[in-house]
Amino acid sequence: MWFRNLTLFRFSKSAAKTLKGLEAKLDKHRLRPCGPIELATQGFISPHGRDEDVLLHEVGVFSLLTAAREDKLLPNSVVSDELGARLRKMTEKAGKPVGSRERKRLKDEVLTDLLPRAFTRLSKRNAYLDTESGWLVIDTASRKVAEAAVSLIREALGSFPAAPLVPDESPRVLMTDWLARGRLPAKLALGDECELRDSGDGGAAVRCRRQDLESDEIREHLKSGKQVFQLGLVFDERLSFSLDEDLVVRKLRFLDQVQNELGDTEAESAVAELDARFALMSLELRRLFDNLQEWFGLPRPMDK
Amino acid sequence: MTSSGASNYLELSTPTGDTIKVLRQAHPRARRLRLTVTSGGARVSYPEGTHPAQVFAFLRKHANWLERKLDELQLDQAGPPPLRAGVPTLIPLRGETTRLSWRDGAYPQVEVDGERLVLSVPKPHNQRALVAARSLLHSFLQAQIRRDVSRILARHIDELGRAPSGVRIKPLKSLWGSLDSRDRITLDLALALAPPDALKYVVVHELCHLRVRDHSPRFWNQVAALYPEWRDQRDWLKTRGHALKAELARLIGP
Repeated sequence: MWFRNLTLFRFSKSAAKTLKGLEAKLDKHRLRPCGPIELATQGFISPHGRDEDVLLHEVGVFSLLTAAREDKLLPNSVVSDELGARLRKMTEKAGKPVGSRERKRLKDEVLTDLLPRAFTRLSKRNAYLDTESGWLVIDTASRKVAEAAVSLIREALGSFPAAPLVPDESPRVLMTDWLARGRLPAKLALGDECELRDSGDGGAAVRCRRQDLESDEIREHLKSGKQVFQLGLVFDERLSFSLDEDLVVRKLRFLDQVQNELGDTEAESAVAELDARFALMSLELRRLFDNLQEWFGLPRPMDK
Repeated sequence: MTSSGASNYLELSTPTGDTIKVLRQAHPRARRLRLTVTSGGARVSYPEGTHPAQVFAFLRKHANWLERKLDELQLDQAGPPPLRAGVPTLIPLRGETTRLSWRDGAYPQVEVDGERLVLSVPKPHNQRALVAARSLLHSFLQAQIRRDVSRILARHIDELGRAPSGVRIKPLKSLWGSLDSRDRITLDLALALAPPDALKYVVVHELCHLRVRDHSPRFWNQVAALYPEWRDQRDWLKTRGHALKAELARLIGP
């Protein structure tokens, strides 16, 4: 259950108080299976698996939850092929072209016929709340997926003002400075990948993988005015990740030091293993977030 | 969105004997005729298939308004020359006139030196340096706005009980800000040049749209609750805003 990507949101102390009784509220929005003619449903499932009851896994101030959705897989091409066949049949029968209203009705009919036979696909998204420091962490790098998960939590809670990160210091400017001058904050080291771009739309872009970031090639790009949009970093020799200009953490990996600490404890069951991993991960990440907050300036929303 | 190949200029004679050039653009989604004046000039947009005579009649009907608006803008525009590499100039920054100068440096970078802004770019200061400088200024101004917006959001989100899903900052043609259906706020980059209070008004305005999606009295009451002096800032943007947009175009290029 290690999170691979992190999209972060922040919430205030008073918003944290509204999280009391969260599990009961989530229960009212439990994921139900897609009906025969439904395109999609969304809701919460247990972090331990779909068939489990518990919707929230709590370790201290951290609460792990899983937002999920079920989608019917009905490709547009299949619908339009079937619609085309029926239209041809109807045109031949009536001897005149089919009007737009009739066409729309026919399309609905095709959907109603095909939907019950379509496959359903379940997609899960883990997220956790740190009620003490006010972080909402979603395991995705996609803004769209993250927003959908936050709206689902908002829906369950009625209102939950979690704000996206708007850093005081521009990540682009700061990360360019780190790379150009090699002056990284303590505990932070350069990884082996980056994305450099000219700012503004349609500017040149360079992506590097497995590249020594202190090499002359990179320096030349920076000299010509390119800026760092994404940078591979290693935090305290415990975490490696790639940070982008919106402070989305990608390709997060827990390095050997962390994995070894976990290896010492022999898990008795799947739940115990999840518990151990989640506890370790949330504590490691809290240290990272404290530092992100210090480097980039990420004020927590204030109370009324 | 512009329809390809369908744009050219119409020439309109005014009662005072001048000629005004108006960019004409057929727009595929336009429902009516629309005449706009920005720092880039006048533009009329119309639904595809509108008869040219109808467009012309519309322009003649509004010739006086157009002339007056262009005059207002012209006054504001008479000022800064285009940005040139290596040549110091004055720019507005957060509402204050700030000196922008150039310096030789190992990496392109913007530095704040007291009340001056220094573009540190490797020599020679040629066209290539100008491109790098424009891109730097773009990021620098974006960072300026982010810093302010970050504090405004932290202050008001809880009071409002709603939060945007994201904040984007980019140059906008005529708007100062907008809120999309997915609750994302977009702000105009030119706001970095405006006084912080004007920026605050725009952010508060968009935040209030999270609660009220229109410009009804209920909406303005919400704005007034968060920012009682909003009227001054709106008026400021109405009268001085176009000059800022022109100023931004000069700094970061078209």
